[in-house]
Amino acid sequence: MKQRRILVANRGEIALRVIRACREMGHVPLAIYSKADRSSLHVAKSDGAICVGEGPSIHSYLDIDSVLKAAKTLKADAIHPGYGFLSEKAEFAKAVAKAGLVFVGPSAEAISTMGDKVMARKTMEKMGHLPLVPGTKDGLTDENEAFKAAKEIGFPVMIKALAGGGGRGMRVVNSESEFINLFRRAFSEAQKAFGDGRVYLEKYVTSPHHVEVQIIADSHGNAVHLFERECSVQRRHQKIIEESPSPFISADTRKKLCEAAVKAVKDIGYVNAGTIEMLVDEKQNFYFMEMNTRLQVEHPVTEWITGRDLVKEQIRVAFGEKLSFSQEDVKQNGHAIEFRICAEDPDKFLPQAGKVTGVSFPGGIGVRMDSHMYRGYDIPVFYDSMIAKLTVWGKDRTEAINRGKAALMDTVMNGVKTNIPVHLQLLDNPKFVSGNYTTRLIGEDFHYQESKPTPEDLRMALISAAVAAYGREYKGQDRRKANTENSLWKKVGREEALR
Amino acid sequence: MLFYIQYQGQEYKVRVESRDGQHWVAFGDEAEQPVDISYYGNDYTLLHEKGVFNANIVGDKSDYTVWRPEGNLNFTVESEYRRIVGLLRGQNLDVENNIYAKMPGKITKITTKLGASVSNGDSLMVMEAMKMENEIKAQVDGEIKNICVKEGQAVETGTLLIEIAPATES
Repeated sequence: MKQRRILVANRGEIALRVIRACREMGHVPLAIYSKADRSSLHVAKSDGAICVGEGPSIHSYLDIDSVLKAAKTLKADAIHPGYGFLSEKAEFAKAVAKAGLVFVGPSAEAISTMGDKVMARKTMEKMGHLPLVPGTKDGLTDENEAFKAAKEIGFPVMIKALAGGGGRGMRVVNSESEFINLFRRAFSEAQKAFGDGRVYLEKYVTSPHHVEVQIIADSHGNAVHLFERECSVQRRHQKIIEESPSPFISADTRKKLCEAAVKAVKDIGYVNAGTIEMLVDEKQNFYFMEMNTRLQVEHPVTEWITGRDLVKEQIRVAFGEKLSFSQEDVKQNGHAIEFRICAEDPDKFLPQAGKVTGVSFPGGIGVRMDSHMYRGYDIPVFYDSMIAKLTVWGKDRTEAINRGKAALMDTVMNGVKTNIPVHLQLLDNPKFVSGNYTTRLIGEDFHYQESKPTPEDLRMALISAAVAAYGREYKGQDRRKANTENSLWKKVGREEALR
Repeated sequence: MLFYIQYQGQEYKVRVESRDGQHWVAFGDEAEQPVDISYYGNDYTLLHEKGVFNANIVGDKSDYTVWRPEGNLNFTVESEYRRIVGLLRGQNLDVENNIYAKMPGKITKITTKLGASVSNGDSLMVMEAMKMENEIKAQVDGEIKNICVKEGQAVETGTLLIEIAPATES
């Protein structure tokens, strides 16, 4: 295969993920970065990198002209957008193609059809492979018009941003009286996050399971699914744990879901990787929710159980090659769980920025760590709070859960608060362990509680802290000389005077 | 060296010494014991009879964070020396109206007057102890009711220095 120069138009762990795939395939990985990301790992690991602007992503990673200019300077043949940022912007895919470069993703037409949630619903409805949740067909901006539509659908309704993703611009409205207020908030949030305030409404399925099907297709008419992922562990409508296979759906539902997803992507002539997200209710009825026309954060879960490298496959098909495997080759093997490790207060889920003072990754059989953390790294305030993805594989779900616990306990990510304690507690939650949990798990069946140390652990922590403090009092001094009351008094006195 | 460690409203005392190339620790009122602790940078590993304790410990002034996967522990660590200096300077006292000598020393100067109205943090007198001069400060807003000592007077620990009538909350 010809060596290509591939620009990764992203940052963080996903940039590293794509760079690794490029290296394996013998391609040349190239990077872009914002001023806030100069010391980010993806820059160091690339074979060439260019600064595309200031810290805020709107002035760097979202700036199409700057990204294309960087691609030209670096003599890139192709651009991989990763997830987020420009990955689902049809105008970017179009501009890349116009510049004579290969876009590692679907066509601009496919993105504008399926990436636009209202268009996607219309298309899906027309094709009839997957049923839809009742909702509005068009994007809304007028609150009175939206209110009328909401009453027609019947409460509770869900407000979602047309351009959205990641839970932003999303609100559940339980009653008429809350509607206008929540509509305004969703609208302004969507406008800020995506530069597009339009929202649509959907009937809110209470107690749903969020199940999605991974698909990939080439330009030779081959489309395959790589089974499903259960993504119902969410906080603020954002996933934090994903697993495959779904512990909830039946073999029959799985077959129906996956086959319908393949039919749908074949019908629209979709090429490259994509995900069809569905809601499954307690009776195993499923509804099409949306399609993500890009690689997903949680793709490692699928890679574990199928043994297929999705990023390498994406690059192959982007350059017009055939998929390296057929549907019959794809087998579900064992069980995989992903934990999104975020720099956030575990109690209130509030993002944290700051310096990472200690890092150590877990390892061993069935453990995969995707992270751009290193000791001394400063987490910038401009980007997502996800700092690592820990993905584990086990021969069955029980082994995967136990391996997850051990690996999380083995993960050191200090200096900023993370949600590792939340993951550890979720793995002990009876509802999660049962496998029959819905998107209401966090908040209803699970409440994070600050962990209390055992008396023995507390004692050891106190002793360690005292030894640490002792070391600091004597820092830079000859211990034998320092160990007299006099010199210590002077030292402490002087230090206190400086405060 | 003795350390006072505050954790969730409780105070723990831990004495640490270093001799013969290792650390000796007395926890609370227990007898001193050698501890097997190794560290590099902020990473500590403690071997003890019930197992192994690992932690990454970061200290900022007196605030110490012990990072553990299950959740962090936040301690306020104060050495005996720092506590005494702090007390002499009128810091970290439990809020109390009246002011007592926290160690033996000599009153070198009285900077307030009977009947004066004072605010929390105002300097009231200077006390010399262990060759250091320290300001004694008011802990509450109020009025000086009684000055119980004279300039040049030597005081013992616990001597009442000043009585303050706190301002009533309005």
